Amino acid sequence: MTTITADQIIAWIERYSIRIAEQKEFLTKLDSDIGDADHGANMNRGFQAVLAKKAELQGKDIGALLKIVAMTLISTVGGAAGALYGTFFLQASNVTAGKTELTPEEFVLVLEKGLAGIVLRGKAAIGDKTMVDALHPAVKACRRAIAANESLDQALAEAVAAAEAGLQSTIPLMARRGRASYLGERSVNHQDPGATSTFFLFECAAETLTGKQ
Amino acid sequence: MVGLVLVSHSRRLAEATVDLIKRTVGPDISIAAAGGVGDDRSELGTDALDIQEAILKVRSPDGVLVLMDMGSAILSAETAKDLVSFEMTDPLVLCSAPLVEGSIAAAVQIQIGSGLNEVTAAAQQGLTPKQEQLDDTAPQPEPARTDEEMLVPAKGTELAVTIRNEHGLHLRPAANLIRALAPFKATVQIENLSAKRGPIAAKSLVDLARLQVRQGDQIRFSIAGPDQESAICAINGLVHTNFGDNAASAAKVPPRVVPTTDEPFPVSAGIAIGQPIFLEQLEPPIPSYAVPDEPAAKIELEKLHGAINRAEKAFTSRFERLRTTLDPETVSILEAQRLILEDETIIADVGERVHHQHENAAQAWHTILTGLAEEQESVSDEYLRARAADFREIRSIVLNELREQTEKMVLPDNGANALLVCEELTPSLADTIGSTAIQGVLQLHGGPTSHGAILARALRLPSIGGAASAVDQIRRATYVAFDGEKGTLWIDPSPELRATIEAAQAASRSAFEAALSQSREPAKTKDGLLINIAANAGSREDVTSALRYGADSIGLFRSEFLFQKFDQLPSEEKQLSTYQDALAPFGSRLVTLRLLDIGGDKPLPFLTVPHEANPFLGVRGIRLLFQNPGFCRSHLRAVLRLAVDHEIRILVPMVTDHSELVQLRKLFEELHQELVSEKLPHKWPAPIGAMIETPSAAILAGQIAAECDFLSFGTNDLTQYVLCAERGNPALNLYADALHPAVLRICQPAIEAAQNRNISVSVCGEIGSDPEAVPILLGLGLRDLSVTAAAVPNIKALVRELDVSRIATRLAEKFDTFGTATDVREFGKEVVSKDPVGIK
Repeated sequence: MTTITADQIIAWIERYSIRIAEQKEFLTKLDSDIGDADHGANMNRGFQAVLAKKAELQGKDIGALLKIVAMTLISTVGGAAGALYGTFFLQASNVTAGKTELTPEEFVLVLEKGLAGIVLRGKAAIGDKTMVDALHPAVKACRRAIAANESLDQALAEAVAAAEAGLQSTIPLMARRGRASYLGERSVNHQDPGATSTFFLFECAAETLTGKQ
Repeated sequence: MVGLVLVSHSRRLAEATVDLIKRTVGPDISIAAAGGVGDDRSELGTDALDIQEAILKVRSPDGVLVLMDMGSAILSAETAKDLVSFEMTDPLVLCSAPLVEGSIAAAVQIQIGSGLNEVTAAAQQGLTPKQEQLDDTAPQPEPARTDEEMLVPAKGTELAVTIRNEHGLHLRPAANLIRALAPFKATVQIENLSAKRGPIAAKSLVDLARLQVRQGDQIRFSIAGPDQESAICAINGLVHTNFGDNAASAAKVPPRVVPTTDEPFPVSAGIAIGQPIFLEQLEPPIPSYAVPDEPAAKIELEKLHGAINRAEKAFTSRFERLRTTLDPETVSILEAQRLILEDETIIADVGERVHHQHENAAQAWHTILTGLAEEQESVSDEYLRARAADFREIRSIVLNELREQTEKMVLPDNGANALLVCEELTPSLADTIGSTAIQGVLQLHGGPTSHGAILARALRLPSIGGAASAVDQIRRATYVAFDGEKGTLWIDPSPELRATIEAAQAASRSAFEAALSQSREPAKTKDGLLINIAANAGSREDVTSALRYGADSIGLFRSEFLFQKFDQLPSEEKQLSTYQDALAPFGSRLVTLRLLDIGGDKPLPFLTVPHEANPFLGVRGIRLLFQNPGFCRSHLRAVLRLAVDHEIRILVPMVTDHSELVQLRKLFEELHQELVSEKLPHKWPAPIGAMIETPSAAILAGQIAAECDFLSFGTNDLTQYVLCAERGNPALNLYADALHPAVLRICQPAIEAAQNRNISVSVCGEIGSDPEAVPILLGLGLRDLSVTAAAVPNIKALVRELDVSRIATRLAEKFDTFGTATDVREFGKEVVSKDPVGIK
């Protein structure tokens, strides 16, 4: 049976850190249209700090390493993304404490706890034009696929597709949370930056957690 | 003592607030600042660990109150609360009070030893004194949907929801729904459970309209397909925002005032009164031929697809052009109209009629769209009923695209006394309405010297421009009247006012009749000067008008207007025969023919220039001719051959300096030799003149005059170049006045240069048709005006009343004091009042 190792989780985080660095300008561009133009820079600051602690992550169990990721993000990102992504990984660390590998079933639980944490923290619902618009369908798609006994590869591929559709669905929406909600109608026709960085998180998961690195 | 923590994105703001409290309330308050990110916390942002640290610093068994600014500060504070709960059990409250006012109010309570509850309450009341003082309590926000109202999956992939939008799923929310679902593979069916209509596929606006979903109706979505989860999320999102119908009562939101120059402005003299007809309401006659078989049906449907594609393109470009100036409501209506164009159900229904009922494309399209409009009109909701107009508009747009080029548009039944309302009167539109009973043209945009304006004057069609801000009132009005000379617009005038307007209309018509009866006579001023009043023309119709209105000659023949009907480069023979045909009515009288003047705002489909950032400063006029040598030769040869039958003067547009005239003359010599060797009848030499329309040409008029036989001021372009104000830009209409002293001053030396060389100098811009300007132009020494043909009778009548030598003397005294166009116009009025001999 497929399992996800701690090293794979580290590879996922590392791949995501690199993706964020690559996409920093793009995220900032999206955020400058409807927000305060700091999402790319904030996320990059946080994940560069995570990358710097890579040596510290190695050899730890999954719960412990995710907790380091969470606390690093919380203390360095600076914007709402710090609290939200930090909460995601903090919740994830709570259900993986002491574990050195995860079954697909356990991994979905990690995602679901993370989603629940973000929803609780950000109080965003679907359709508010936030990261939840990408995260929620992705987690649900993953859960459905695993429940249907599909492979982890397949489940992650479906999660990526769902995240992307969710991301696209933010374009016509009017923001109801966060800085963009101050813009009201003018936030329509812009892609949400938080949903975009969430989509990258699932893309990186599909690239690193399924043996096809 | 309760501890206080202040969180801000800006560390400096948090620390400065702490300082404010210590100095205004007391130095002993237990208070800590948090915020800022980065190594020295100088960047904006918040950090939960930093907040946690601040909380621990001021912790007390009495509790800690945290105030924060907004956004991530709230999330970080909440995260910090979670984190701190592992180490601290003292009470902790996060409070929504405003940071500065709230923390001061809280500090005062802390100072007097109040408990956490009192401190928190004081913070929350922190804004009240200020609100009372300024009397500006915040408006109550609209109630949001509660979570219970969010839809819940009924069974599996079905969702039921109650529609809250005031007008139900009207055009805009329906359009939003279709657009949002378009990317998904899943099929989505919608059923109106309350009205027992449907289910239908959520792909067609028409089908959705047929569900007649009203406020309070319950509808059911059935979703099936590989990406159904995402589709459900998208629907959830839409429901959450009332399908993008922002205020559930969009109709109550007053429309945003579109920024324009606000006031309508005069375009073409005359008083018009009638029913407003929007351009979209003009439709071509519907052909009645039948479609006998399948191959013919296929051709019909291809024609229809072509027409829809063209309509869509036109729609998109109009939409893109206007989107920044329209209010959101109008934008969404335009978007919904575009969806009607793409509607699969309509296409299928039309196809059905063409295939099985043997109707042609126009007939079938007309039938289906009329049916939809009528269906829409039968519903009880007034707002929805009004949307029938959208279907009618789309019907007309596509029918017009299907129309054969040769067919004229027809007016609706009530068109006998109509005023046309359009964005801008274009040359092709003027051509189309020339033969209708249209009484006047209300342009929503346009400028006083735009080509639409020139055309309206040429047609003696009363017109005003800049009526965009009144468009909604015009749409609802039964009667509209306007004065094209003053720019006044009346909407639904009272019967008394209407009688007054009609009397004024009759008076101005009879004054014109009187002037017309005299207009074939020469125009001699009171002091005996003979003034040549010529007409501007661009077509055979204009030439006929010039004759009818008594013009002494054609002072400007715009050779490019005839070219607009060609879609490829006309040959020399074609050019010759076209000009011959247009000028035939004028016989051997003098015609000043301006060489093809394209570029700038007058592009032709076959002589295009690469995209220019600023076409008015680009390759136009003589520049364009020189850059297209092949075409230039054919054009000049056609002009020389035309000069056999007509007295032709050749006018060169967009001259910059005399070198262009030297080069042109050389080219004419060469072509003359060619024509001689080909034994083709032609006339050379012919008089060559320069348009003075660039500041450069005006400044160098002395050198230019030495190389040519006459000068002619193109005041429209000269004005835009001297004042740096694009013509046709309605926001700059104030600058569109050739009587501006800067323009007059740059003209004056050029007039003198022509007089010194004893060559003729004329004005062929629109200013010559302006009765206020005529005394000034004559006073400056001009003796040759070329005006709109229809203005010839009135201008001649006016000239006969002037004593030009007296005006010239006064003008010379005052000329240097003029600073604005208003000064010049004031002078005109002053001359009238103080010198009855000067101007009657």
